[in-house]
Amino acid sequence: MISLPRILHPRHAQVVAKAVLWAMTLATVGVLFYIIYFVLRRGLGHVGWDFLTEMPRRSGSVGGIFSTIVGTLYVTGVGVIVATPIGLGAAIYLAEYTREGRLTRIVRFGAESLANVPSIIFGLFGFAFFVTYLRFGWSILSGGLTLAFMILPTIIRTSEEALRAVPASYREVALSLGASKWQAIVRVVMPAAAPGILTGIILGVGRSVSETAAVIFTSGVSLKMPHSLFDSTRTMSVHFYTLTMESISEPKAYATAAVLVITILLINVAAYALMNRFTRKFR
Amino acid sequence: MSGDSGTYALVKIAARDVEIRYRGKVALKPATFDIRTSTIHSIIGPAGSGKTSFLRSLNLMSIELDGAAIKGSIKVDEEEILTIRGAEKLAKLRRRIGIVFATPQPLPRSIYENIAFGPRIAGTKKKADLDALVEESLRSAHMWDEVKDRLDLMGTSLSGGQQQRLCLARTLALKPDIVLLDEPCSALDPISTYKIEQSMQELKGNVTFVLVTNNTKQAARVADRTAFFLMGELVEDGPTSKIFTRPNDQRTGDYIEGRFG
Repeated sequence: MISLPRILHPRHAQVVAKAVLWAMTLATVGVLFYIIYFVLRRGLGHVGWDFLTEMPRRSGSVGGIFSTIVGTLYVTGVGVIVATPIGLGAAIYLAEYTREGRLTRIVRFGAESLANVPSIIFGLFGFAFFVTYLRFGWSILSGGLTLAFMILPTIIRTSEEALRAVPASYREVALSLGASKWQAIVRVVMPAAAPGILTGIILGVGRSVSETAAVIFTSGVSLKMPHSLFDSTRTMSVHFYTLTMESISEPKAYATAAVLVITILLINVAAYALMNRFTRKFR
Repeated sequence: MSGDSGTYALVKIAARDVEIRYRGKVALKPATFDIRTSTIHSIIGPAGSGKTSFLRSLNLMSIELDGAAIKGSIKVDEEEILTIRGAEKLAKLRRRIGIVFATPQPLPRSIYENIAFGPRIAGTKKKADLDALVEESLRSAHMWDEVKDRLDLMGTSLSGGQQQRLCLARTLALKPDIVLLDEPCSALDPISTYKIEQSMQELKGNVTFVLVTNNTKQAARVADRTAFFLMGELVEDGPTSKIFTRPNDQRTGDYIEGRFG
């Protein structure tokens, strides 16, 4: 046994350790609150109904951010609509149709790896594949599909965990009452897992809304109101990036950031509320 | 329900040399006995005797869910069931042979929806038909008067005893001609236990019950015939009164009198 040299009386060491750990925890939460405070203090004053509902004019230095809100909704919407069925399908396969083995390990490793790919790489891939090779151009479609790949691992993982959390007895009961395996999954397991699955989707939405690098390469930076899936659009985070990097307008940049931060906070609160409800249900 | 037209089928379930293994390990050595139509047949024995394995083999859940390999033959109404495969045929079998599990397992939905679950999947869609089934099943399980005004209450919010009677009602809603019960009263209060036993007695005209129980007194109270399983072996099977008073095998008497197990 190696023991640390005793500098302090154990009782004092205990107090010191507690204080240090408490300070570290406080620092973590403190940084979060400071960032939120920093952004909101500079931005919130410029956010009003007009800012949310007016079109941006003169590169965004005047007017609001309406078209970027719409653009964010469209790109995120495409991403989630594409990723949810694929992710849910993969999760159902992993949780219900395979035994733990080489295949599930490979799939899970693949999904985890996908989750750790830097988003700018997704952006470059999306640009090369959707924008140029498939000729979708800078568009909502290209950006949405790129985001779909990016949030896929989150949706797979949370959905799989949600499905696995459903007691095995529910499946037995359904089968014993004349349900097929598929009917048991659709009518009993999925409804029970729904809050957990929804949590994964909401986290995916959050990630899509906040993503910059992957969409700037794939959806472009157009400030015009998009009218089809093939129109270029600018999301809120790309708008913030452009306003800042090109020194267009600091107040407008922080106002956009404030809207973005509040949106993400609301999304996360919703996700955690759902997750809590879900875990309580099976305890 | 089944083909009882004309001839009275005395034997409902005929087990011949039924051997059950899990990954090579024997859970039940070749067992042969009959379960008669419209009787309550109890299976008693200590833990690990193979009685639940046998019960779960009667609706093939042991094969599908537990990975059991079964040799021998189990005939229900003279038809072999061990060769049944495929979702549709399994579903049909399980509508005929219902099961109530040891711990009450209501699904997280209303009392009404718990009971309507099986019939809906079987294709009953009309509200009036479902309403009638729900009422009839709850009456059979001696529960109707307790819950008739709150059928939309979550099944999971009932007391343990009520939950188990709900599960019995849910099984009965499919109009099975065999009901398997896997230690259904092991976690219940005496009143709920009494009501379930009463239901079995009343229903056995139309339903054959196979009751696995740890409680020898329960077997003595309700069963017409009793089989004694011990360490994966069918020791003996016979009329309950004989098993409990003049067993053929020394071990049966020892178990019943509580000398082991």
